[in-house]
Parts: sequence; C-alpha cells; structure tokens
Amino acid sequence: MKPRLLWSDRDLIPPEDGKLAMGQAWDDLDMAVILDAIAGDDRALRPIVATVLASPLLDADGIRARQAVLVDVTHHREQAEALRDQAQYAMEARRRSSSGFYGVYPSSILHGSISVLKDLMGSMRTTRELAETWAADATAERVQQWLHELCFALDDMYLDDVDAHLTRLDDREELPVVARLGAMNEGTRLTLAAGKGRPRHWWSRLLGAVPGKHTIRIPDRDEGGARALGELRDKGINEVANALAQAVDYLLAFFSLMHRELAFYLAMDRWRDLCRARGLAMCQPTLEDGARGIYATGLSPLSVALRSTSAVPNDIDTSAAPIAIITGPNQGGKTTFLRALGQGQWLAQIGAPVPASLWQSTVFDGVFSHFKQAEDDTLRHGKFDEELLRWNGLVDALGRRALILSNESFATTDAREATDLAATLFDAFANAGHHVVAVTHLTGLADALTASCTQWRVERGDGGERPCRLYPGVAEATSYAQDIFRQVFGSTPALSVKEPTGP
Amino acid sequence: MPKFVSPPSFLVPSVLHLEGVPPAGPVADRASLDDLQLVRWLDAVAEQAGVDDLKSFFSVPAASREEAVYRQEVFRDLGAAAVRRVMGAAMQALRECELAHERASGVGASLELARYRLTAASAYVAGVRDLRNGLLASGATSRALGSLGAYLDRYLASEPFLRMANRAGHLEAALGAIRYTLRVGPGYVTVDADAPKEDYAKVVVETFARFRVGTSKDYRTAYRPASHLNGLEERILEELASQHEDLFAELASFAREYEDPVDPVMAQFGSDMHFYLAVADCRRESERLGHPWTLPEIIEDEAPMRVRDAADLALIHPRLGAMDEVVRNDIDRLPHEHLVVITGPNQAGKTTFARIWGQLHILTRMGCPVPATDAHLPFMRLVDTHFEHAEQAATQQGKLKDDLLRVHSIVERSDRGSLVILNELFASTTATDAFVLSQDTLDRLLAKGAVVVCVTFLWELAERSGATASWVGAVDPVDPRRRTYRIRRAPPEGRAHTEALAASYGLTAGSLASRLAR
Repeated sequence: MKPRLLWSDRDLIPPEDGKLAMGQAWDDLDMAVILDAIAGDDRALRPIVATVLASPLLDADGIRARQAVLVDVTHHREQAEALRDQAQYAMEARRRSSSGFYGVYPSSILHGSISVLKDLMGSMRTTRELAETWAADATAERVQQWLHELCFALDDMYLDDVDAHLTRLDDREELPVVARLGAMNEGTRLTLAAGKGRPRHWWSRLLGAVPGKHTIRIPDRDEGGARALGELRDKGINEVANALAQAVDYLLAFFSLMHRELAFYLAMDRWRDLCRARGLAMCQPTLEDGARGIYATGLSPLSVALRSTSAVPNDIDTSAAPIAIITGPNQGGKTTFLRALGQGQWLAQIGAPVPASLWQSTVFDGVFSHFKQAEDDTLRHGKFDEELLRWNGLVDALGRRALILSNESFATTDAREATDLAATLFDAFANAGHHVVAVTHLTGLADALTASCTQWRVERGDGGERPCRLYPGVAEATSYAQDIFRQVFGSTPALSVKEPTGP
Repeated sequence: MPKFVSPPSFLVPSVLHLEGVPPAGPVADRASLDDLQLVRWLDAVAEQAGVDDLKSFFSVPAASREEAVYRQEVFRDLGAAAVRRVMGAAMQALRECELAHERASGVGASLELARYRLTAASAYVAGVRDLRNGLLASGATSRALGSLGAYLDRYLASEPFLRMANRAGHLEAALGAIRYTLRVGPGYVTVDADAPKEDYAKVVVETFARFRVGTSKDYRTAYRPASHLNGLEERILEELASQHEDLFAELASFAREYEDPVDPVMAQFGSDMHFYLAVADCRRESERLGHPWTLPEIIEDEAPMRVRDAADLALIHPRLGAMDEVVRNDIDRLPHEHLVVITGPNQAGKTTFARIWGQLHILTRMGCPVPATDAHLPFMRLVDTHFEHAEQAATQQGKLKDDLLRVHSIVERSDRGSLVILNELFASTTATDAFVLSQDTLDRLLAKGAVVVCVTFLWELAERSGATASWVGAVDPVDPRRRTYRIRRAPPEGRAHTEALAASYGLTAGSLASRLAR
C-alpha cells in the first residue's frame, strides 16, 4: 500500500528532529535558495523537499523513474491534488474524534481506536475511488503499481469486513474471554473469543438474574471486586485493542506518507511552472551511467535567477576530459557559474527538472565542493592549515566517481606552491576516476596538470563590463582587478595591483 | 504427614570434601584476606555470579593435598563447555525450585499454594534428571562429579522419587491442557470449563494487518505480574475447580505431601557448586580478556616453587583493576630460600608482587586455578600477612604497638607450614629501629620454619646471609622515570635508582650547582 514514488525501497520520511546532514556542498552551492523556491511559504512542505534534496540518487534508472512520475503527475494534476487533499483530511481523523486520544486502559484504547477507524473508513473508500480514475491511464510504472495495489488492498469486500469487525468490537456488553492456567493457577494468556449474539435479554438484566451456573456476581459496593472485574475485561481485550490502535497508527502513517510523496511531486510541478514563468528554460535532464562530465546548454544560475532577472545562461561541455579549468577576471561570474553547474547536477540527481535548455551528464556518487572560505582571515598559516585539513576530510569522504567543485583553492599560499599542490591533487582525483571542475586564479594550473583538461574563460567585455559569459579559452595572466577598481573608484589605481605570479 | 526423605543407606557424596578427611581450619584470617585483596575479589566474583557470599568457602579450605587435587579435578571438568552447561542448568533448576518454594511460603493453604509446590517439584525433578543425563554425556572425569553421578543413578531410580516425579508430570500435563471461558459482563463473570476453538483476537489482528505500513508502538498494557491471586481470581479458580474436581483434589494432595521436594544431598551440592561455578566463570571471563590461568601443580616441600607470568587477580578483574597496567611476573623460590626480600623504588610494583605470593598460595590451598601460565606451588597450611595501614591508629606509638601485637600473634601461630608476608614492616618508626625490630622478627619467624616474604625499604635486610633471596623492582635503564612494574631477582640496589631519577630531573649535585649559578 505504500506509494514508493520516490524510492523503490524507501519511504519519504523527514527526520523527526528536522536535522539533515547536507554537507559543505549544500552551503557552497547555495542550495537553500532552491529549497526555498520549491517549498515556497508552505512550512509543511519544506522538510519534505529538504529530505529528498538531502539524498540524491546514485543510479540513472532511479532518476528516470522519478522523471516519469513527475510527467504522470503533471498530466493528472487534478487526481493527484484530490488524493493529496484526501490524505490530508484523513491525517486529521484522530484530531476530529472526541475519543481519539485514548487513555491508558485497553478498553479506552479499543473504543478510541474504533471511533477513529470508523472515520478513516470513509477516507479509504474515497482514496480507492480516486485511485481507480487515475489508474485507468497512468503512465509511470511506479504510479501504476501503487494505484493498482491501492485498488486491490482497499476493495469493497475487505472494507465491509473491517466495518463488520468494528461494529462487533464496539459492543460493550458481555465479553467472552478464553483463558489458561498460569503459574499461580490464575487465568492467563487471556484472549477474546467471538461473541455469539446477545446472550442476555433486557428482561434478565431487569430482574438481576444472570444466566448459567458458575457465575460470580460482584455486589454493587464491592469496589475491589469491580476493579478486578474491569482488569479481567481489559486483559481480555488487550491484544485486540493493540491491534486496532496500531491499525490507526499505520493508517495515519500511510495517509501521511501518501500526502508527502504526492506533495513533493506537486511541488516540483508547480516550481517548474514558476521558473518558466520567469523566463527560464527548464528541461528534463538526461543521465547516463557511462558518460563522463557534464554537457549543458542555456544553463541559468538559479541563485541569481531566483533573486533577480539578470541571470545569463551559459553553455559548457566538460565531457572531453576529467578536469575542467575555469579562469577569468574577478567578479566575472566564475563562482556563480560553478554553483549553477553543481546545482544542475544536484537537481538532476534527485529527478528534478534542471534550469537549462539541455542537460546531459553522468551520475556521480557525490557532489563535493571546496570553496574558498571567508577572506578576512589574518592568520595566513593557520588558514592554509585549515584548507589542507578540509581537503583531507574531502579525500576521506570521496566515493568512486565524485564531482568535485573547487573554487579558488590554495589562495592562501603563494602561486607556485598552490599550483603544484592543486595539480597534484587534481591529477590524483582524475586518475582515481573523479571529475573536477575548478575555478582558479592559478593561470599556470592547466600546464602543471598531467591529466588532460578542458579550459574555460569568463568573457571580458570591452570597457570592462561583465556580461558573465563563459567560453572555451586558456587562462590569461591577469584577473582584471584593475577593472573592478576602476568600476568602484571611477579611475585606474595609482599603483597597479600586483598580478598573480605564474610558475 | 509423610515428608519426602532420601534413603539414608546411600553413600553421601560431597563435591568439596573427600570422604573421611577431617575438616581443617581457615587458610588465612580476615585481615590477611583483606590485605591480599581477596575479600574485594571474592565479593566481585560473588556479585558477578549472583551469589550471596563466597568468603565463607575460604574458611573451609582443602584439608589435605589430596583434597586440593580432588577439587582441581572439578575445575578441570568445568573447563569443558558441556560440563559447564550441565552444571549451570542444574543450578538454575534448583533456583527455580527455591523461588517457587519461597512464593508458597507467602500464601495460606489454597489451590494457589498447591500450584507453587507443584512448580517447585517439577523444576526439581527436571533439574536432577537433566543433571544426571548431562553428567553422563558430558565426559566429566573428576572423582567428585563421578560419585555425584553414581548417587544420582540410585536416587533417581528410588521409588519415592519416581512416585513424586510421576504425579508431578501428570498434574502439569492436565493443568496445562485446561482452557476455559470467562464471560465478563457488567457486574458478573461466568466461568465455563469449555472454550471455543476459534481465536477471535487473531482474526481481528490478521484483518487489520493489511494496514501495516509505517511504524507503530505497542499499545498493550503491560500488567505487572501480581504476587498473588486477587479475590476475584480466587473465586474464579474455585468455580473452575468445582468443574474439574478430581484434578484439583489431586493437586491439593500433592502439595500436602511434597512440601520440600529437595533431597539434602542435592541441596548441599547446589550450595557447593556455587563456589566452583563462580570461580570458574571468573577464570573464563578473565581468560577471554587475555589473562591466562592455570591449575597449579601441588609440589612437595623440598621441591622448588615456580610460577610463570603470575598476575594480581584483583588487578586483572575487570571490575576492580586498571587493566592496562597489568604486569606479569615470574616467581620462583628454591627450597632452602626461607626469606624473600623485595626492595626497590616506590611505585615499582613491590606490594602487588607480595600480594601475588599470598594469592597464589591461598588459591592453591583452596584447590582453585591461579592467574599464571604455569605454576608449581606448595600446599601451605596458613598464609599470614602484615601490611602497612596508614589509618590504623591515632598516634605513632599506638601504631607501633598495634603492629607489634599483630606481628606477635603471627609469630606465635607460625610453623613449617606457614607463609608470612610482611609489607613495609615497622614503617612508622625510624629506619634504625625498624631495622633492628625487623631483624628480630625475621629471626623468630625463620627459627619457627616459616617462609617469609618481606617488602621493605631497608635494603640491608636483603644482605642477610644464608637462606635469603633478593628481588628488586626494576626500572627502565634508559629512562629512569619509567617504571616497568616488573620485579626480578637481583642484589639490592641501594640508592642507585634514586640518583638516576634525580639526574633525569636535573637535580644531581653537579647540575644543581650549574643551575643555581647566577
């Protein structure tokens, strides 16, 4: 009965404490902006989306299965919304019931559960009916499978059977209980037997006569006896009360799960429409297990696009080599582009649409980032240590085929040392089968690498304006800090800014 | 009222004592057991084994060398998992029987009490039968367990035992088969000796199992097992009994007849086996943690005593010791060496070493294994100790007097069969006085034929002629600040170590001179 629309072997369950381990890349890539955009101001939706974002898929089939579900949901938005709303309604069944918050005794647990279950019966029938209308022309395999399971599990015969049990168990008169003898010769392993209609008639109750021999009557004033009798009754229904109370839990959990999984896809659907309304190209990415690198056209940086309208789409193809080097002037949009690349890969691997006109990439088993930390650090040496420490941790965390996004690594040491270090690291990553995209000010890095690399530059317009466009190109030995100085100060710096030292 | 008693004609075996050997006095007094950390150890072992007390066993040590070997055989048997399992199961059965018996004593004559008596008898019957069959299959070879097995053969075939076992078996089967129905209505309950076959609760559980999708908690109310039947339960039982008259009459009659089903020999066996199992379990746990144990070979007086890799059993006990600091020592003593003097720097492990001496001899006397890889130890009549205690008396003079009183009584009771361990004797007085008093005490002890192990800062004591062996606490030759906690045979070192230590801190005369030169 579980929907299993996100994972074939896992349910969408946000962590109870709301804490998800997102890793450094989450912050570096500005993923929170995307989470905000998808979840909107729906507070219930946020942990759901976050949970999916927190665990990207590692297989192309799983990603394609999600893409198919999203297509199906888009085509059956009405049914999906109706099912989600029905689930939402069912989730509140316990709150609606006056006796839904049961006490501690089996009898109160039993009758409380019965009252909630009677309410849930309606939701189950409606859910089944909605499932039937969607199932008729569902396109995604996962959707088909789930809807058919629902129709089968919640058929009328079964639901009628459940109804009958609920009516029978709600009878509060005589309760037949089967017992065995325990270690004290007490009645033990008490279990409920099926009642045979009503053994007592109103007139026998009126006359105070109890049928049958071997009957023990508790006098009205005997409080201890009444308590013992109540306990006997409670012990008799202990198992059944537990079964029903658990059924309530399971059903509420089921409706809640169904609500979450549908809500996620509906949120993705709505978010994609919103992005398109903002003029962004949104595509269903193509992921292959065998391919190397990323090929994208018209890739928009969401962290800019979601905040303003000045986002510039770019093209890149890193599939020719294990390493891609991006150079260019300061504030030329290198970091923004690197983020867009990481965001695209991340979105693609959760089965979401990507803000590009075309996206083809391999499935990585992890997206790792190493971004320059805040630059106001005065302790140069300590900073360098910290950087090495982070690389060290990153190396520990790598799997077999990771995407490593490096932004201005080793800016804390001199260029020659930094170039050698970076080349050693990146070569090692490349040889181990990882894919590196590095934004760097180290103009000699490409030459220092022994592994092959593609080289990209951020375009510098005439007069120093920054259209933030990327094109293939080798590093130039200046970062155009003068340009920025000029923009800020309105004149060229009196003392030319020292250019980075090449190897 | 006929009470079950085992036929007196049976030979009565004991797993602790050889037949015909008169019991001996304690191997060490409480103060010595304390000094040697044996009290702490025994308490810890008893606690782990769930036994009240093990110290009492140390007041009945093996009365002879032969009896110690008799016990060692049992420990050897307990090295086999099969024997351990059989003994463990027997102890558990006896405990069950005891528990049921205790519960019965808490209620008046009733069908409830009768059931406890039946439970006690059934547990006992199953326990002794399993014990007999288990012993046969376990391959136990000790004389003690062998004679127990022979006793059980006769006992289990005896008519009174068989009658009790049969009656208990029939009762258990009949009571276990009873299923009855309680019709619980408002203000009444009807007891019906019949019960329907259908388990409606199961049908309901299965029906609702289809929803089993997420997780849930257990909503069952956990009813704490009551200590006794309540009034309603008693009345229900009476109503039920009135519908099974013969069965419950037989139960009541059984309970009257078998108030205490346990044979006295079995009761004694149960108590004695606690000792063996507790020590054997402690040994196994210790070995699992990497500390080897062995059963010592008990040597004659004129043979050399020799122990390899001996450890302090309190130090290696996981609840008592600092496990990472355990150092093992080889120990030996030639027959003519009646005085063993241990000297060396503070914190070198001398006291631990002296304790090990005492522990080894006491354990050997008890017939127990010792924490070592190989051991040849004598059968000592008495182990006495005198350890320095800081808190014993208020004044120096009072303390010296206490010391002398204790030493005097030790000297008085010492003989060729005693081992006396003296730790920092007369440390409360001046070195000269201590030397003189110590010399005198040692003379007296040696004259009486005792073996003396003496830990002292008076390294001159080791230079006594003749029967003296000198051991010293070894230090790392490279870094004098490092202790090895190893004690080895060597002539006394005097001040050599102290000087080396001082040098390493730059406190020798030469370095002090240059450091203080401004």
